[in-house]
Amino acid sequence: MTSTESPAVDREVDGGAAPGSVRDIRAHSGLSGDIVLADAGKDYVALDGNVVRALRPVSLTIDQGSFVSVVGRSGCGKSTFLRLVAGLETVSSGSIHIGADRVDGPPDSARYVFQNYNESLLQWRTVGDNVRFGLRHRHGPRRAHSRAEENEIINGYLAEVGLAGTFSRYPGELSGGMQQRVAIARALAASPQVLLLDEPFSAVDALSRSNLQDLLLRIWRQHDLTVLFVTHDIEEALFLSQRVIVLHEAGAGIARDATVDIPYPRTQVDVREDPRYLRLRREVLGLVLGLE
Amino acid sequence: MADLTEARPPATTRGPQTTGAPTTVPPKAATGPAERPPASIRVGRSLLRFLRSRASGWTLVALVIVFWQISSEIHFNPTISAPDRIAQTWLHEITQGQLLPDLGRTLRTMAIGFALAVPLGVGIGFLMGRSRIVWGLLEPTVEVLRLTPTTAILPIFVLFLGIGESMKIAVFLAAGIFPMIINAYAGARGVSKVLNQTAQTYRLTWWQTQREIALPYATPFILVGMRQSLGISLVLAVVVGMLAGNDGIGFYILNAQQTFNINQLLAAVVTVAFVGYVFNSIFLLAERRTTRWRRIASGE
Repeated sequence: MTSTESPAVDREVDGGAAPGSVRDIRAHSGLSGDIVLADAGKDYVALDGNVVRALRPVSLTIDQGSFVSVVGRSGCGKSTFLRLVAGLETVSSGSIHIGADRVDGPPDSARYVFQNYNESLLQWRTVGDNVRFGLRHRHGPRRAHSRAEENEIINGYLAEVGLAGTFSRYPGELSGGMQQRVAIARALAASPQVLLLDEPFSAVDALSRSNLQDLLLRIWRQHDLTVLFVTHDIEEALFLSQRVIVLHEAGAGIARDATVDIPYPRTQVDVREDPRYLRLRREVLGLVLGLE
Repeated sequence: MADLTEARPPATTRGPQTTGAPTTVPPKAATGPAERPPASIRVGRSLLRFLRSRASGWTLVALVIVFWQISSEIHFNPTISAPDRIAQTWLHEITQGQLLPDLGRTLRTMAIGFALAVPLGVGIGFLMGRSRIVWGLLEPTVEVLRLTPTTAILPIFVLFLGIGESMKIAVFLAAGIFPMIINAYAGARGVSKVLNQTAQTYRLTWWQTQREIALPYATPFILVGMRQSLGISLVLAVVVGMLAGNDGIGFYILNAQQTFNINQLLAAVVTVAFVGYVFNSIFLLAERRTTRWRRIASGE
């Protein structure tokens, strides 16, 4: 839990992530799939020539297989944080590694779920063919499948996200929550090790959101994923995550790095009455609203 | 010729779907025969359905022709002629006259020009939409040339290429390429940032991104471009034949006019109109097929 803002933490930045080392992490056990940010920061030059700080350099390690959320107000740099890990933007200082690989473009081991599912899905393709897109552009070695085998695999992923029987529907026919499920199935079909989600459920109605949260937890455990989840919804972050990183306003870096010590499986009703959850919610909410 | 159809929003265009709008659907088994609405309502509903469909429009066309026929029976005017005489001449010209060979020659030349304009126009427009560098390089040229009326450049073509086949192909190419460029550009340009980033995060190569994302996205736009391009080409097919031709449908029309053969003239005009209508319908059908997902999504 290393961060520049809280020096009293116990975890060191993983030193084993030297650039140029072996590519396939899992084939060479001993190297982990941790996500390591070392003084990773982002500045950009605005149109008027001024340098704007999107994210103050931060250092932290996200353990392989953990579920970590990043919360903060709009403009705090949480999306920048995620986009840097996703390789959609490049760091202006420091470095980011996933396992042994330095992030300097979208990493093969990670897949990204966008907030705007309707823009991210290929609307002209059926649901099944959208998942096929993930399968065809999957991480790691690609096995040749017959079309029938492919369809079977796709139906498996669709069933997993609760969309059995929607193979030949078009995304536009489905509700927002269902479309985001398609996007998740597509990402899963690419067999990633890291799943990056940028406010994925914020455009979905409240009840569907709860269902999607449960689904995401199930998938996380089933597929051994490392999940990095960005949201402005503190309750969502606390319900889902093992660890919640709170960002200061205006790219000023990490305000709090909190461990959510509630065991899994978690259920919506129980967690929201758990004293640990309530205590953390009070603390984080206060921090984000600027009360403390 | 494409204007009428473009004025309408694409989601609610023609076809049997629109005739079955929810308010006009007759009650099905759910209500049962016992609850059949009274005759006055049923007549009202079928009348409304007729008025909303294009059947009413075709009836109007038929009525105009009937009115034309009747008025020329009452008051004979040799310079306007009557539909039945035009039809007779048309039948004769189609079977024995020069109408079909001339039309065929024009369409063949047009097809060659179109076949050149489509890949060139799609290529240029698409790359302009996908690459800022290509856009910067070509945009000024395209903007200047596309606003130059082809009929104004026609004398230049005649000067350099004569009045043969190559001049006509050049005219069709010059006129047909710009709707292709503009629409392919608009389509390629319209790919959203999120969609481009989706391609990035799935690590698609440049080529894969164009093939799997940008080109399918731009296809409906490209088809609109083809439809517009064909419309302009047909106009020019006639104009070129009149100004610089020695055969073809434009020459045929001019010839009929100069020999005061009104029936032949109108028969040719009707034929060209029919050809235009058929071309337009074919491309509308193709557009409908490629945007099926959009209509399904909007619940039609």
